[in-house]
Amino acid sequence: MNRRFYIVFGIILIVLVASLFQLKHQVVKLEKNLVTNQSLIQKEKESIKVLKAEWSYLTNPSRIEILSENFLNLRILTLKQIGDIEKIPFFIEKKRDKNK
Amino acid sequence: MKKNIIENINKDNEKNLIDLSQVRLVVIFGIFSILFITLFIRSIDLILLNDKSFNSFSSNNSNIDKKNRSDIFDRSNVLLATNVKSASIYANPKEIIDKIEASSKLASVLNHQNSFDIQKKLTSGKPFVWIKRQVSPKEHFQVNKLGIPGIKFKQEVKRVFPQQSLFAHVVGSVGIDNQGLSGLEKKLNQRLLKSNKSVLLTVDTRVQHALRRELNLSMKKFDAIGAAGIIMDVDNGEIIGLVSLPDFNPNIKIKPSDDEAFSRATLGSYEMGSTFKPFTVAAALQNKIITMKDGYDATKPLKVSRFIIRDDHPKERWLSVPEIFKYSSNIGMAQMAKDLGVDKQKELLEKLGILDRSKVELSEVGKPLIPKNWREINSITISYGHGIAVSLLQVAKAYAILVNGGKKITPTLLLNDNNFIPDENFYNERVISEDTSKKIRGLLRLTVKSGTAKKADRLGYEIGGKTGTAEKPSRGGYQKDSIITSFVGVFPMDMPRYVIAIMLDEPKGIKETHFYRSAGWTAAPTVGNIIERVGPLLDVMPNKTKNYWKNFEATYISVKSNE
Repeated sequence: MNRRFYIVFGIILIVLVASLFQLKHQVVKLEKNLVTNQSLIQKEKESIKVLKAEWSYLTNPSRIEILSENFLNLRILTLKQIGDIEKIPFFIEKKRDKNK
Repeated sequence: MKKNIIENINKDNEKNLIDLSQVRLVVIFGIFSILFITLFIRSIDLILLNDKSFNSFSSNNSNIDKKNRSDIFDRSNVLLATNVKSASIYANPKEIIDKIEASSKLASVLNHQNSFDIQKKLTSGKPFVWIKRQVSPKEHFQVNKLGIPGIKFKQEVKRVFPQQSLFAHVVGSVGIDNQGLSGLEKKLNQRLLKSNKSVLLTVDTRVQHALRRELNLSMKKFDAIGAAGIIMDVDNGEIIGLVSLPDFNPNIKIKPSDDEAFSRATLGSYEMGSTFKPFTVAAALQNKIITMKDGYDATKPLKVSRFIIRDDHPKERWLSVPEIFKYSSNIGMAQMAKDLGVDKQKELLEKLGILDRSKVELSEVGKPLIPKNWREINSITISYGHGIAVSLLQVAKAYAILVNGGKKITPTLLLNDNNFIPDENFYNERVISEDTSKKIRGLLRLTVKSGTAKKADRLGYEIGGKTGTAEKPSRGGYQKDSIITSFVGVFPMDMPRYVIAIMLDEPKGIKETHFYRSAGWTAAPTVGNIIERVGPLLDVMPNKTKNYWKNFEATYISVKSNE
């Protein structure tokens, strides 16, 4: 009885120790993974920052204005060009139809 | 017997042997158990307790981020300032064999560096010299390609401003060691360094650009030495655009020239001239000194002690209050100020924030120049904007209060900022009544419709405003040749949303303006152009109701038939 108990206890102990070590090794592995990934994320973040700065620079209004003057046939919007959508004939007709 | 003795001896020996081996066993067992316990403890320590090495590993990276300044964005999330990694080049001169060759090679690939200066650095005998800090990626690559031993790189963080010079006087600039040198960067230096949160500003990049562009065009057209402009939301004091010209590119020039670094919008205090008149009229209307139907005699120049007050556009007759306003009559204003009195004038100016330094979040904020002894003569000159010098920002704020129904506001550059918590009365307290505000609005509209500021009028928007032309003060008098013209515009007049204040420093008359250079010819059309461009961006619908103006005209401008 006593002896069997010790054997069982011993086996459990060995299993526990073995799995604990296994776990620890896995954790170490994951930690290393984490560190690599974190440094990759950091690098990505830095490139995103650079890209955002570049985007802001490339879309700055002075540059767009020069590009538009050189390559597009567009002029600056005047107030006459802005109106109510309701005043377009199409909409007026539609309204009239509804009222009928 | 003998056998017994031998047995006894044997037994004794045996007993001794057993004792001895037992002692040895215990000793060995003891040593081993101590060793095993040590191993056991160490393994527990390693397995369970001692995992600091990993933590420090992973947290190392995020430290870099914490030391940087926060990013700055405009109100629609356009990036205005951020940090990027950048290499700095340094040298250990002792490792460099041919210093002359090395310096000429370096100079050939680095911008703005000459070979002689580099040579001087390399022969200085120090073990560490900076060659150039925060170089561009291209320069980094080229220096690397040269492969000179003793030339090394250090990773540094560089503050970049992608919008270049557009926000030079708002965001400001940052020094080589990441310390704020001007503008918001200096004023909020601690906050930008400590907090990780990015900062959102009230400015709008598109509006800012339109404002800067139009000011630039006018500045060139009238050959002015400088210009400034501010666009502000009249209801909450948010600054949508703030430009001072000439400006500088904070990416390249860390130390701009004095003229470029000087903010004409916030730091410079100027005598504004007639732009000040609405303040006096508002005070007189508010205190019921005058009504809109009253008027003053402006037939001939007025003599007050040793001064003679003249009109720029003399009508030489009796003028009603709206006429005094629209023709910008100094004679009429002087008499109004006399009736108003020093105290009441001072009280309103104080409440409008004219007498105190503005609290906007910039490091360059000018102190207004006000007379020490405020006597009647000061009060009279101040009524038409002389003898007092204030910043453009203060004028913009005062106009915003005049047209928003008299609500107090605080000009700010920070969007949704929680730092400013006004007390309960702040929003309830009115500087002037809604009624006075309405009358001032009408007078401002009248000036643009048929007064001195006709050139600011644009089809589509109801614009109101007031011009101001002032000679620049010099020692003991005024300079006839150099003037400052200003115009403060408000739109749309039926329900004011934005105030636009601009000034031109020393504009000159041109053929197109028949060589006139006063505000009506220079500053007013500039504001008209600005409003035409920024109105749609600010979501203000053109061609809306004009009922308000009809009511105003019918009620107050009935004297028209006299003309």
